[in-house]
Amino acid sequence: MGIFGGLGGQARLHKKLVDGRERLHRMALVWTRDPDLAMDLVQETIGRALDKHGQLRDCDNFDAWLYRILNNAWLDHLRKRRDTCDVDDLDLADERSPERICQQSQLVDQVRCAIARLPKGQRQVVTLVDLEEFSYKTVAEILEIPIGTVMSRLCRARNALKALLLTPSGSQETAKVSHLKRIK
Amino acid sequence: MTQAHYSDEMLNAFIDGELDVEDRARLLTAMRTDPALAARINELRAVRDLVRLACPKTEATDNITNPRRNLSQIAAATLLLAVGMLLGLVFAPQNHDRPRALENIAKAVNPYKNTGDRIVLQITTDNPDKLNVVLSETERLLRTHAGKPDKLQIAILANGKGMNLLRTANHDFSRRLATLTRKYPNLTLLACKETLRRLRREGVRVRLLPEVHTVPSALSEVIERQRAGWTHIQI
Repeated sequence: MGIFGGLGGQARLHKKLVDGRERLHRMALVWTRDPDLAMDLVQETIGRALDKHGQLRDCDNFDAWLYRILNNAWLDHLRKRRDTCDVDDLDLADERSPERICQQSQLVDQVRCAIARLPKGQRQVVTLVDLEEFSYKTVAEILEIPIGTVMSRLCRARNALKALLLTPSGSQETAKVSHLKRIK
Repeated sequence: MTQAHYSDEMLNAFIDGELDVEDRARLLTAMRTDPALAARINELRAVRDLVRLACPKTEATDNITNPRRNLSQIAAATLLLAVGMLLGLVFAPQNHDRPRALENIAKAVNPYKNTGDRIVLQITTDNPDKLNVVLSETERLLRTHAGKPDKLQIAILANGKGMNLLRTANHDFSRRLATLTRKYPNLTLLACKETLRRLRREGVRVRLLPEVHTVPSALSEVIERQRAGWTHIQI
């Protein structure tokens, strides 16, 4: 029996899911940039969590387990939609500079814009590390990638964000960054 | 020692608390004598702080309060997968047996129950073909159970694109829905307030059918209804 077995366990699981819902939603939103899809994914994640909680053995890993489900739910969604778009290519060929997109927006919008311009893999790593403060090892487990890849993606993501957000005339330099393609 | 000795990966690991004590101490010492290195680290920290600043937790727009906890949630949740699979059948293009499909779902969900079926149909699409099927199936189910409303309850819950179903502007469906709700008291129409709020922010004026009730968030509504033993079907 998993850690949420029994009647009290079920109530505990429910509470943890309700508590974690907003954080999951934040992550889904920043990953997908689509409010409807984010809500669908959170719902799917909670559904799967309720369904599979028997598999969870260690309470400490609960958050990582939940985000792993979220990641898988999103991957499933992307797989279904493969015919329509590849998310890593989204926006990268966009000729509009972040300045133009965010011309009149505030700092927060600029940061969100910059995060949105990152390739999917980098966006996931940087948000899991920065927002949820997961260790590199946990992020590697959540996304099911080697820890070295976590580190290199994080590094690329932060460098790209730095160029976009901290360099005064960031757009020219970052245009190059944005057009780099991940080969791996 | 110059800053070239420290890779970006290492500096990132440093600000994320991923370095071991020895490396950490070495880097801290180097920072004291190398302003450029300290600046690189500060920039990375600033980037991290900006990301945190820009992505606060989703505003708490609703508080889930549930006075009674219902154990049938477990059963409902474990059956979700089966429902999902069956739902695939409902909308599979090659499926010519649509009229019975939804009812089959209701039966499949809880064949041993002694209480009535309770189904929350969450509509997230504005595809008219799908909506047509959903309404037809809903109507058929309601008709089958006419006269015994305690045997079946259906809640149509709209969020995202599904909100179009409940708008007065959508003449194709509004008359049908109005007739259905008048005829069947066991059918309720619910709209997600979060979606409405978002639409308003985007400048979209939404007028809902008078029969529609609002709920704080579609997501919490689904969770709560699942807990209370409702079958959740998303379309």
